[in-house]
Amino acid sequence: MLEILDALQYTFIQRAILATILTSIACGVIGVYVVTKKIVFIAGGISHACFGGIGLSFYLGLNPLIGLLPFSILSAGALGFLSKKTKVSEDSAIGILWSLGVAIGVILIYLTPGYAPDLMTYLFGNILTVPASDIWLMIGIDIVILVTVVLFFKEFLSMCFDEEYTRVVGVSSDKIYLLLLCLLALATVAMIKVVGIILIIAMLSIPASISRKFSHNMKTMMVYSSVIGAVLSLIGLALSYQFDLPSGATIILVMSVVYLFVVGVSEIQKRVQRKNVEVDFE
Amino acid sequence: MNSKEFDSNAPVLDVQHLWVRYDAHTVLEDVSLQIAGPGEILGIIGPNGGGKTTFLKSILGLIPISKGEISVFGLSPEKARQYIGYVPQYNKYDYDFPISVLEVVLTGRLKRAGLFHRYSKEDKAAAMQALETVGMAEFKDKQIGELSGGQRQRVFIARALSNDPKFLLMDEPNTGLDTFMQDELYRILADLKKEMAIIVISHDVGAVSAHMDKIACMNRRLFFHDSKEMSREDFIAAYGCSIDLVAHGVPHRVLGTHPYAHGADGSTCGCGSTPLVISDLAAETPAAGQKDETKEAK
Repeated sequence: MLEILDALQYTFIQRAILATILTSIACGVIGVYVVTKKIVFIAGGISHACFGGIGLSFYLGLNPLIGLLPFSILSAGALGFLSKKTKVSEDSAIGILWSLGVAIGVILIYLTPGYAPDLMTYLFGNILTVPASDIWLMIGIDIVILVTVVLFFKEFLSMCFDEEYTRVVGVSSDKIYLLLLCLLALATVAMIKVVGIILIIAMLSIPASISRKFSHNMKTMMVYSSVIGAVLSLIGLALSYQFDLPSGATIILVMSVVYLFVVGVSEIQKRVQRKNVEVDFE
Repeated sequence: MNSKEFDSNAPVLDVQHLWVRYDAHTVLEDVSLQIAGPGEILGIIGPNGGGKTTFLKSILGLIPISKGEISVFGLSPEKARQYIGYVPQYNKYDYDFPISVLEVVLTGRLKRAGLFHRYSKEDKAAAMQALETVGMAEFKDKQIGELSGGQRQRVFIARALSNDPKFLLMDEPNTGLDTFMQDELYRILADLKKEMAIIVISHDVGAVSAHMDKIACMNRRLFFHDSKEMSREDFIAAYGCSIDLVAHGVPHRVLGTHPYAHGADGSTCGCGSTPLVISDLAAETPAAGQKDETKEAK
């Protein structure tokens, strides 16, 4: 335990903690929309499409986050456009984007001369190597996400609950949906360094799913899910430091265990309640 | 053809030769319908897949039409939407969704409240007023999933009313309601029709007939004589055969209080209902033989 406290004095650990908290805020807020609107796999599609952006950055010799930003927004836009304006089903669009992004990334990285040392970082994440510049970018992304969600809160709520009725009252639910996908893309960019492409899906869905067990109010859920995300991530981070495990994977493991526990307890509660009702009848 | 401004003197609804096709499949064929003003409930009945929901959605401008003209208060559907209240089919929602009753009703005021603004006091007052109308005000803070089917249906009616509509469209409002709650629903509608024109669609003939002022039948084409009377041919054309619709096969679910003289010979069936009248059929059928006739039809 003391070892962990000692670790707090290192800059890279402090930065890791800050990055974890910033990521938890972004995915806590957006995750609530992802879970209630049931677009977890769209989040997966966008994050994998981002791999193409990473490949492009390597190929052009840029900071990977610079390539990621336009790529993620572009893939969100493409997904929204394909599913809303053409006859392609959203499901297929996700599958195509998912594999296409990875394919582009693999080819571009293959074509890049020399070894690409950071590749694993983007697949599985490594929060311990987050540079200060990325922290600033994440702060920026968090601010953009929070401000947008505050400004469009009632539109997002209406669109997520009932897209058709939102159109009936005269608000373009397609545009609102696209805006949500763009925020999702931004959150993905913020998260890639921390948990990696593959584990983003869990980071977006697990804290929000846990919060759902404790609240039926969108705003409260967002606060809960950010806090739950941050606490569980930090526990995961501590464990990964202690046992020398990959940080992203450990964080997800901790979250999954807690999720299963919460779901288990709530199921048992339901059964007990049902049993009590039956007993009352007798 | 459509003028820019809302015109309260324009007919509520004017549909001329409407066709809707999906790929090669024709959903609506040459449908024309006029509603002059408020005061009446038009029931549109017809089998499932007969195009009823498509018809409502084309009035709302939610789906592209292939041919024809739709004008609502003299406006295009897109522009007229803000004056229309819509109660969609009841079973399409995720009732686990984290939204309260009041929040659902407030979404009816989404456009009015405007971008970047919270819902105003006026919006909240209008939403509460709508909840009062349907008798759901005390449930305003409940999560939508905590309500019963009938209560939810009333919340969706309140959402449609919150924006102060001049025209109300309801898609299968009976679904999930028991007989008592259906009566309650039609009592509310009877009040509302003084201020707005109402269209109710349903596949269940018996459930709607007693409460409608006029009845149309829809199965790809619309059969309507601007009255409550339907000819046997209309029903056969609409349903393919005349079995389910027979007014006297099901009327006891919808008992009104006025005995009705049937057909040309003026005989009454004595069931005391005001079912929709199938004039030709009723004329042929002796009142005493209703039950046999139902069986025969099967």
